[in-house]
Amino acid sequence: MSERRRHDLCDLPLLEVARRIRAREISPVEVTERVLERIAALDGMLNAFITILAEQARHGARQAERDVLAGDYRGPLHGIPLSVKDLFATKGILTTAGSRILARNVPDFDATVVERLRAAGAIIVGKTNMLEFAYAAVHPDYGPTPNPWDLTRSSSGSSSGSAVAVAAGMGYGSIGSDTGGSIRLPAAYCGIAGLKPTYGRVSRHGGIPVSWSADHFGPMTRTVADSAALLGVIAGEDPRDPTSGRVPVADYLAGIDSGVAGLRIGITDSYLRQHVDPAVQAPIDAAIATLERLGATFHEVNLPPPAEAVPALLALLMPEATAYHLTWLREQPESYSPAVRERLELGAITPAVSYLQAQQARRQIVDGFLAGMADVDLLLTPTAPTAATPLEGDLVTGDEADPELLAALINFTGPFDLTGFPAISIPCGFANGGLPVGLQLVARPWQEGPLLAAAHSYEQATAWHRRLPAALDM
Amino acid sequence: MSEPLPEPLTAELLRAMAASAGVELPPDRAAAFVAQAEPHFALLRALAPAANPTTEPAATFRLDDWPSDSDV
Repeated sequence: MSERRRHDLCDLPLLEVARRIRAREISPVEVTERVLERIAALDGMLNAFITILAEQARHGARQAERDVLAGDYRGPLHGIPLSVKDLFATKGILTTAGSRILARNVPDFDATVVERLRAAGAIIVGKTNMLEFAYAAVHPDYGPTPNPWDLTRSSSGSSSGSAVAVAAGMGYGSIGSDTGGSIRLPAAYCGIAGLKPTYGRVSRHGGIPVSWSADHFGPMTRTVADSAALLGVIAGEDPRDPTSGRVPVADYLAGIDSGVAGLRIGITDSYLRQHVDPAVQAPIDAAIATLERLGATFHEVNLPPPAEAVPALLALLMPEATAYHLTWLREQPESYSPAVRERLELGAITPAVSYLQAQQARRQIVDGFLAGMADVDLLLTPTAPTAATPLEGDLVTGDEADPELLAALINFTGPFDLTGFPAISIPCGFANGGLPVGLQLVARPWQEGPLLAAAHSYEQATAWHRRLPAALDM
Repeated sequence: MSEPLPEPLTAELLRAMAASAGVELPPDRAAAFVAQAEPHFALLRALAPAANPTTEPAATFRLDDWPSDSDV
């Protein structure tokens, strides 16, 4: 752990920087310059950004400074440097989705999440690197984003650049997307918080899709409260997204200190121990003990297992992805990385009957989770079966679609993309000599408030989130 | 219920299935693709127990408050 960097402005929580900006102790201009310096120092090594928006960020910071000094303070994101994954449309700014196909794509509009961040006064410092079209493989034109805790390890994906940018202090938060685990897995590998909200909670308008029925957008930050602040801004109904939920958005920060005393948390072997590396299991068991000390109680629950939920998710998302990509797949298949091309071809050969069986399974599995969670407030699982794997031979850097390896990776995260239930990954320890381990908490639909409060309570009782990647001290 | 998924998978079968979606799989590519398609179809076969004819698929189609394309 770095002692030297922990008090650096770039490594403070978003809400602490927001407090200082509001109190006029620091200026958005100073904060933005420090973040841009950090990006300039580290991004050559970490490859977290596809586009860095230095001049636009400076312009926005000067405007934010004027606003704050004039008494027009818009809330906790005002003047805060953030990033967004490079699949969100940004008006007049390159939006590549990590692909060769969209290498020159410049949208003429902002995605809803970008629009809402800008309206809240956030400073977007860059568009983050990602797996090609968020589909589980790196495109060679962009290259992998190494893990800042160990540069020889994977940062997973697909929101790899977002996770690494946040972990390395290159902005105070980022917006990622999650269709099988693409917010939570890189968050777990990189030691940060990553929230996948309920399906429909955050508008999908302006995000390049993997799967219309399983894509979720959400915040990635260094603390849970920071995620609550970001969610409060980006959440809410949007008529431009036909699946946007008409459910009121709570004040997530107001309820963040509710604690876990009295909460009932469900566990079951298939979501706790099966296929889990012992080096990951130990921190998970310790986290259960910590939550018990904080007043939560644990109860065995009966849930549809990953062996049912993950195949259903893949049978849905793969044909949906292929449907979106079909014209490009027919006309320029060589533009894709080999693994993404293979996954799209697998989607093309998936029978319509299988797709509909997956929709039948989805209904049964959602019913099964609602019944299984009837007597508990939350579920607890590991986020990933292992800590960060070596970049060499990793799924995301390989040339093959490898459906079995993909299914194993998303064993604990994918079921909640299928069901749409909200889930958060938070750091809960370290494995294998210093690689972060992620704990996943899951709530019933629309219950992000209690979910964030429980995650915050655990975080405040531990110090894992305060550690910084020692690999960056060079 | 009859099994909707073909067995065994062959390169020719995969080429024909891809072609039905307008995707061309050259013969050498199709031969190598069998190794990827087999585990994919194993996952799809795991869905068969869900194929209860009384279960309504989770896909939704509602015409109340339908947003038109020009609205989205």
